[in-house]
Amino acid sequence: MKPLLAIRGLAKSYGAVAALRGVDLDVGEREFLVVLGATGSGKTTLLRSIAGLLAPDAGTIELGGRAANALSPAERDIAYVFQNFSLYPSMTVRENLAFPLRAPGRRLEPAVVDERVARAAGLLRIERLLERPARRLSGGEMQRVAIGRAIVREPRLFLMDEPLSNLDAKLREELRVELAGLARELGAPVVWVTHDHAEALSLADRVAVLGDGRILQSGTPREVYERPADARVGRLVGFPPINVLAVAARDGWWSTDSGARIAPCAPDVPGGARAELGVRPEHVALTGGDGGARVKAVEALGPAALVVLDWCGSEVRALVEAGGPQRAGDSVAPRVDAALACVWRNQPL
Amino acid sequence: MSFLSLERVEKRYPDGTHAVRGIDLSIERGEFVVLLGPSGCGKTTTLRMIAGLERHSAGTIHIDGRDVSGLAPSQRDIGFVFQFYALYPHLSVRENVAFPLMCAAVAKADRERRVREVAASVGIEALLERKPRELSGGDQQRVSLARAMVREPAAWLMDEPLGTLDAGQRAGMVEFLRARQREAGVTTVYVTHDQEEALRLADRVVVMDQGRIEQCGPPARVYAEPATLFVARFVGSPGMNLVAGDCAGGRFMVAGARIADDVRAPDGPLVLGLRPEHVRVDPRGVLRGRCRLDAFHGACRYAWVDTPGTRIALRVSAAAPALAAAEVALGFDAAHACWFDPASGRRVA
Repeated sequence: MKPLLAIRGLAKSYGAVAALRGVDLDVGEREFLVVLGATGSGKTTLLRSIAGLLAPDAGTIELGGRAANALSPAERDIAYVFQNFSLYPSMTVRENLAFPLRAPGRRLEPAVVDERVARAAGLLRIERLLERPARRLSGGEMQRVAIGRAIVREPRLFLMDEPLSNLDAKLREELRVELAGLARELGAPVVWVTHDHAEALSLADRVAVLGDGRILQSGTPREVYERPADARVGRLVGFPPINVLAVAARDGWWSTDSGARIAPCAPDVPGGARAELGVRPEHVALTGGDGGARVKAVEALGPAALVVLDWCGSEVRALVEAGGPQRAGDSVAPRVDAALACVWRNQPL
Repeated sequence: MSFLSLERVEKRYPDGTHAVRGIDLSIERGEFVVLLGPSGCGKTTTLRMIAGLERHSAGTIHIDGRDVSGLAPSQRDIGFVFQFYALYPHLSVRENVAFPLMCAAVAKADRERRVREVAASVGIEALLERKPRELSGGDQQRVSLARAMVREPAAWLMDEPLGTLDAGQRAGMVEFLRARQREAGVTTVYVTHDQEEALRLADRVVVMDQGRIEQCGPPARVYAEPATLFVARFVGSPGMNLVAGDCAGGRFMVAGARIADDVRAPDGPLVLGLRPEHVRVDPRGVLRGRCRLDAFHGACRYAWVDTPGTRIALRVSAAAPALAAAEVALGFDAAHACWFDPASGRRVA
């Protein structure tokens, strides 16, 4: 089946600064795709190009199998939700929701408008706010209305530009759960951009990691988290951050130059081969006794604790259950689950 | 005697706003204390009163045994870091970091030694001769952190210093900040609305709401034994699950169903508080509902189950079978349950 949205070789520069350097991306008919990238990685440029608010320098955008580069934003039939809740402050919630349906050229029956407004309000649980002016809403309520305004249009694609980033942490968490459930109920295709990896992992059917103006990796949240393509993707996804260690194969072990034996290496790896090893903190187990590592610090993280180790001069983080016995200064024996470690070889065999 | 002490400190503004409603707080020399709360809780006002940027309306503030009520900020012998300022583009990294020491007329040899030390502690030794524009965003933030913390006054006061960074940059900066404070031993009062940042940084967390201190204690205790419903909800992500019911003769009932026995709380309305990691799928469990969302979170998953009256979050192992859209029964670990009186909001057992 053809994807709903197909992007090939998309490039855009602002003067000498290249924001996008050739992005290839597909979005399926019912897919929730999250584009994850650091500040300045080109996320917003990508969304604006899809929406038709920005003309790319190169590349093609197809919607529903048809070239869309030349289509106006309105012709693309895409809804765009911004991070700042762009509502009309003096209009009521009902008027704000109905507004996109009253645009000239839409010519919808009033009964249809009412029905769509009522349905969106029900989905977003804002029925009791319908007669209230937008300026009297809280931030979370405003963002619900802004999303409602996208839903009433029944667009072919939703674009979400960090829609939760201006909300406080508690509200963000609540609305995230709600929107993830809602998107699955509606089965609507969504492209959601964010710099928050927790948001990306918990919302997405598929995560596309954007860096250097390109898609560095794309896959299910689990694939991107467990098998990052390189150290860079590994560091962008997950908290506490992945441990990245420069190692060489010695006597059947991946070892650091200072002599820490991190994990056994496969038998076919020639001695002296160099690699980067990516180890998630939750895959470092700690036992007591003199194992060559020293505890530098222990940080509380709620349900877990982060233990920062000095392992023969390399800093390694271990994520353990809260309330463990480790204290700063202790000597411990770290053990890495080799099956879960990522090996990024500098040179192929 | 403690280094910094606040007794019955209040702040009223001429317009009648009662921003701080009587705060008692003692801070020991070298301690890292984080004031945590939502916007408008009075945390920044409290910090500004300690700094002397706002006069307190009632109560007393002592710093190092001295009543500072009548003293200007500059006479209080404390330094503050209200934010990490932008770097001077025409100065090298070394000159940027040395700048506050030059302003304080620190001798050249001493200055160079301190710049070297702080550069090593935040990991920018190799960048000292570069210009800011040649650095990545993360490195620029490290430089501005080094500059802010190169002086070692009697106390650092910090107001959301990481507020402008994206999630990836923040995670790393928290560790630098923590290590630098430990190493310098400078008494630090730090304001944030981010509970995770607070738990990671603090020796003691002071949770505030509506101008009052809700709880004050080490991160692990505030997390495991919240003193009030507010703290239970605010600390933790997701926050503590709160299930409202009634207690009669030691039995806790919700909508006619018996949820727990041997509850040591007085008869009457009662709220059960459960951290997501203490709730589990259990076929014999008494809390039942449909799973709204089962979201991958990296080291674990979080699932949300809509039970009558409450949406309950539970922490699930990354390897456990998916719950999504299933009707599930939940059990919990009674040893970790917290019990609250809904009228006072305080924990009773």
